[in-house]
Amino acid sequence: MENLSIDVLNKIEHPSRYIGGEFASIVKQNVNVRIALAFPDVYEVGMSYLGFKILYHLVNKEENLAAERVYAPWTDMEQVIREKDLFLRTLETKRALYECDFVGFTLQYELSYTNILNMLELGGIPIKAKDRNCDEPFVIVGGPCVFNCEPLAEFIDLAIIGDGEDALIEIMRLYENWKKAGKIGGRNGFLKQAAKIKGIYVPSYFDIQYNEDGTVSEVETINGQAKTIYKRIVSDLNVVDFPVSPVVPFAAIVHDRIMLEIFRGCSRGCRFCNAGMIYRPVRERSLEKLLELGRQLVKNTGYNEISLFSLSSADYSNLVPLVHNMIEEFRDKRVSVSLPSLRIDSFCVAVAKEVNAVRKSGLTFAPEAGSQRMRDIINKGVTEADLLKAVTAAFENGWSAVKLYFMIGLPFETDEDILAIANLVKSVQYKYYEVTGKHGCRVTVSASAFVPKPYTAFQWFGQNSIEEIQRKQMLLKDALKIKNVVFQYHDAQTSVIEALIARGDRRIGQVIYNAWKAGARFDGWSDHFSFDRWQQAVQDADLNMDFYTSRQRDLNERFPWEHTSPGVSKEFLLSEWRKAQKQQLTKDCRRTVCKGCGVCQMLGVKVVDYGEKKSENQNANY
Amino acid sequence: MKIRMQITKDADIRFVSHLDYLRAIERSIRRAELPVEYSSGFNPHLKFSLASALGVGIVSSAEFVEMEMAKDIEVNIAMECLQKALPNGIRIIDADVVASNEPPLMAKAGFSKYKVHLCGDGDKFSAAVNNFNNSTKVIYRKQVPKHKEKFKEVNIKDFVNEVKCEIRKGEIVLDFEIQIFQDGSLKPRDVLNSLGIDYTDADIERVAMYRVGHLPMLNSKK
Repeated sequence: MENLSIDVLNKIEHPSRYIGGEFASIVKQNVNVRIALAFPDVYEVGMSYLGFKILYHLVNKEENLAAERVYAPWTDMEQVIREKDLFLRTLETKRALYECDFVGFTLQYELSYTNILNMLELGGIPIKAKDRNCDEPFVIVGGPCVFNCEPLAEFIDLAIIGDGEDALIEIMRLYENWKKAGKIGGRNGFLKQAAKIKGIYVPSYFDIQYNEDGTVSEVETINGQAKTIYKRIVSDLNVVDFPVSPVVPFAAIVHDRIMLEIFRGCSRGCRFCNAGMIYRPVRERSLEKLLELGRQLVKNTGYNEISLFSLSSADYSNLVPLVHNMIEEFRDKRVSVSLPSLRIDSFCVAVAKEVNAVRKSGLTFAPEAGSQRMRDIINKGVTEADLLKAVTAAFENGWSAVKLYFMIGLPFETDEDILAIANLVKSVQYKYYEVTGKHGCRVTVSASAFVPKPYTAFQWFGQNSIEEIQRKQMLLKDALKIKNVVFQYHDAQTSVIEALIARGDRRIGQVIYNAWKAGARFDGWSDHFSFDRWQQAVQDADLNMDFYTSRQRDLNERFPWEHTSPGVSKEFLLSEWRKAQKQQLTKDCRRTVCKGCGVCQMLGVKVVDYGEKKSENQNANY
Repeated sequence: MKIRMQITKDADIRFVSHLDYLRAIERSIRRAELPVEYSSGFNPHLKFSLASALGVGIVSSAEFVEMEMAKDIEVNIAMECLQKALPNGIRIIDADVVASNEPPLMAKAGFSKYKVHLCGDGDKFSAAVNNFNNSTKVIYRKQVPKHKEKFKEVNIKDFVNEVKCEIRKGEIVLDFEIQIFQDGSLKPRDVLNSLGIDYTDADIERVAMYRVGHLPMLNSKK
């Protein structure tokens, strides 16, 4: 329980990352079960993560349970820890990670996995689950990437698939009893019981067999484990606790504002989107509940901004009354209201104007693709006319700059589809001229390279090669040599490694291990990423990169992630994949009729939406 | 009216930067719902200021915050409300009230007093300190803020008259006052550097701040 000394903190960047003691942080010295909520990136990023704010609050509310926080030390701090033989410690009681009962990592992003291994080592915990003894912590994971945590199977003891609110408390209580009873049966004794909890996945109870061609042939379970682990789900967000007194950091963090989750899930059904599948169905909080939560959050935190947080937050059924009420109520306190994402329509622009969501900066829209053909393939559900209407509203309201997000490397994409992005940009600029009579509309175009993800309609798709992505980037760069247009694009190599892990199987664990051993840290930070290191890591593991990235999957292939399921049926995804090829749309089920993804039926839940049902023929943009 | 308070920056939050410390106070004022005036303009902010910036890593029992109030409030009530809303590591020691047209506290500060605890060779230190005290000129190359490669030569003795040095068992305690002028002051680390002391493991505390003539910063000293 030692604190870092003055000379250590004097020598490193941003020392306040490592000291804790923030307003509303909770220090519990004597408890029965302690979990370190571990975020595999720096403090400023990890502190912005809503999921851990929720779990921190829920666990600490419980008697005899404690949740503490720990973040990936930056490279300068890691050096100090290694040189001085120190341990990575939690911010609350300053315990080394090995002194906790659980270390819980969130899986937000594949390129943060090397940081997980690094944090385990710096925390004094054996890297591989099989090497941990009865007095060492259980390493548990959750978060969006948990639906394919196979690449981490060797390193973790268990995983919570889906919403963690109830499952985490259950698992900690189970541990409490197991510990009290004298740890009967050792680690396996605990895991056996844990595996019986709904939504808990114990990778070591699954045995994976492979075909000669490298694909998965069979999955056997031991200890009477169910063959498929379906996600845990909170059916009504109005009855589950939401933190109203989150930790208020000293340092400026990435999302330095109140994050109020207005609903969970999104069923617009964009075919590239993983979040849109794994968080189904949509479950809204009621207007009254949100206003009450907002009131308490403003009072308890002292923040001057409240962000209405969710996927596609403009889809909230009572958005207008919610925004109006909040602005009215918090006016005297100078609290502004913001929306993290805007839908492409003029209604959203009107709301954006009201909330001052984007003060002097430009408005951001995400058409995702340049041509209508391509937008229909991905089931985006917007037209060029929608976009032009939206920017017209923006220009009429005084904005003179917009930012447009696109993806390149999508399935069935042709060069014409890429070039259509440039045409769309020109139409936007011309619209500005039509509205204002002036030239000079600034457009920032951002294009990321598409990464196929598990549990999406595009999970069968062979990713574009690095060369192909780079060629398309150059093609677009050339087409976007237009006055007042800025083009930003991401490094193709990073996207390929992200794809390698995203659809990886258990053998990818060796690749992550090799890369980490060779020095990989903070791979999501471009200045730390080394493609050569990853290529070497794949080679040393005797694997083939293309098998995981650019290989088009056979329709009959059994995927490595099928035994950890969000409840979406493979038949639905396959039908979406086929509809994509035919450019057929699938509308949102939220306020129309069921589209048969299978989630509600499989999990016994239903859509919670306070809006009015509409007929199938009305525009999907409510 | 303006309320002014003497507050602390305790050892557990010494590595919070000056900007972050300011933000923590701002959020505390908002949590306490103190009627502090807002600036006008597009991005309204609370009207409060600190008398003097403190370097990262330095403890202080003499920070002075000045708040411009939108309406009158009893100073004891203001203290009580704000103390409840402050994070651990910031305590209110004293407070007073002055009229809005009083010059800002910042303009009044004349001296900062520091105490430094160090480990090391006592004889070497006392020699360096003696030498410093007996000189009329100690030239030091001070780094120009925000310009890593730029330095300015200053005479430390213009700011620090005397350094007191006490050698206890295995510990050296230094005491000195740094004068604050209209156009600037020195950091305690500059003083330590000029004495040839590595500050990285020095425990530095700002123990007091005075007006010119060593008068107290606040009117009512409890």
